[in-house]
Amino acid sequence: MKRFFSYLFIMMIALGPSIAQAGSTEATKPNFPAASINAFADRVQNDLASRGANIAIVARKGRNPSTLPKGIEYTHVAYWVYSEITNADGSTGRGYRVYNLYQTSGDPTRSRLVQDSPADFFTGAFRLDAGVIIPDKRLQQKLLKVVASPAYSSVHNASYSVLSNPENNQFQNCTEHTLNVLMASLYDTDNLPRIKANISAHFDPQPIRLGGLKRTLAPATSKALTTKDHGATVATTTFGALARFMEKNDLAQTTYRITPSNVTRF
Amino acid sequence: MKLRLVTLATIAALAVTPVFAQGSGQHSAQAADHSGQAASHGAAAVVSGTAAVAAVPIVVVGGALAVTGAALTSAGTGSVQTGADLSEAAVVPQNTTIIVIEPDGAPTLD
Repeated sequence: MKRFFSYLFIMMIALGPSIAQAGSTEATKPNFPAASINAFADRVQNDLASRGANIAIVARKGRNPSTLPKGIEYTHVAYWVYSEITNADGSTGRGYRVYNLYQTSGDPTRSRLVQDSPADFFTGAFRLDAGVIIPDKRLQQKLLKVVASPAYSSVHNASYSVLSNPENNQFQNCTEHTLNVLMASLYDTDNLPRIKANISAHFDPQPIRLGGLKRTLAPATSKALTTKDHGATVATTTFGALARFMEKNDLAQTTYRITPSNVTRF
Repeated sequence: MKLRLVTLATIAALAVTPVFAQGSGQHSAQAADHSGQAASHGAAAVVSGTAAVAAVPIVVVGGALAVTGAALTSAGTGSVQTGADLSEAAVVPQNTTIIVIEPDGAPTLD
């Protein structure tokens, strides 16, 4: 028995670092100089503007993809909204503001809806590489209506889980909130049971291969790693799953990947 | 025997496809105090107190778009450093009771 607990202890230590980094709310240092981040943020802004996108879904790579489960490439997703911007010094301009769901710094099991700039969005990126979905013009109009209404906040659930199940409202991550807003726009409703019913019926989340023991022990490392909102298998909302859903239902104008030097279609 | 089993289980557990996706952690540049930032999410304009940025979504879709002036981050003003907290207006209790309702048809824009 004593031996068993020794092994369990070793296992916890071995599992700890990778998972703790994965779902951490610790502040991350920028991986790139500010000038590179700003230039890339402007490149994405200008690209979106040149395509006439008033609102787009943009994803960033916050971690080395080789360390992520199969099927996950991007780690954070948000709406970019073309806006009239006024800064503190009175200067004005037109560009994009980013509508994020972030884990709170003090408690990783809670989230808040936070608006920031394109440069802020990429500051924590592992790689300057963005996934972009520009919705169909008609859907853009619907999304803008929801983003500028109380419905945007009413489909937010502050209970955060990294791998939240989009088919129920027990927990939520940034991509699931993005999906809720999308469904609220498509079905013209902020009724969560109806949104979840439609997600269950029409959206295919990304299955995540997760060992039973790791699944059991992960919440001991961080409560934000819980999977108790799932059944026998774990599946969550990802940028790729959103892109597939939108392509399948003819909801996207275009879907592509942009880096400092290239723009490629998925 | 028991020791071997436990060892094997340990190896099997650690060999499984690792880790989770990164959470939406806010980076250091956004670590500023949100408490002073009022949110008026119900309105089209969301104003943040200390971040001192007002952003009004342009809702007319279809016109020519350009990124100009203060919105260009390379101009040095875009990296706001603090986020505007939109959550405060929506601290609504979440109902996690499962209500079974019939779904609508597949989404369509036509």
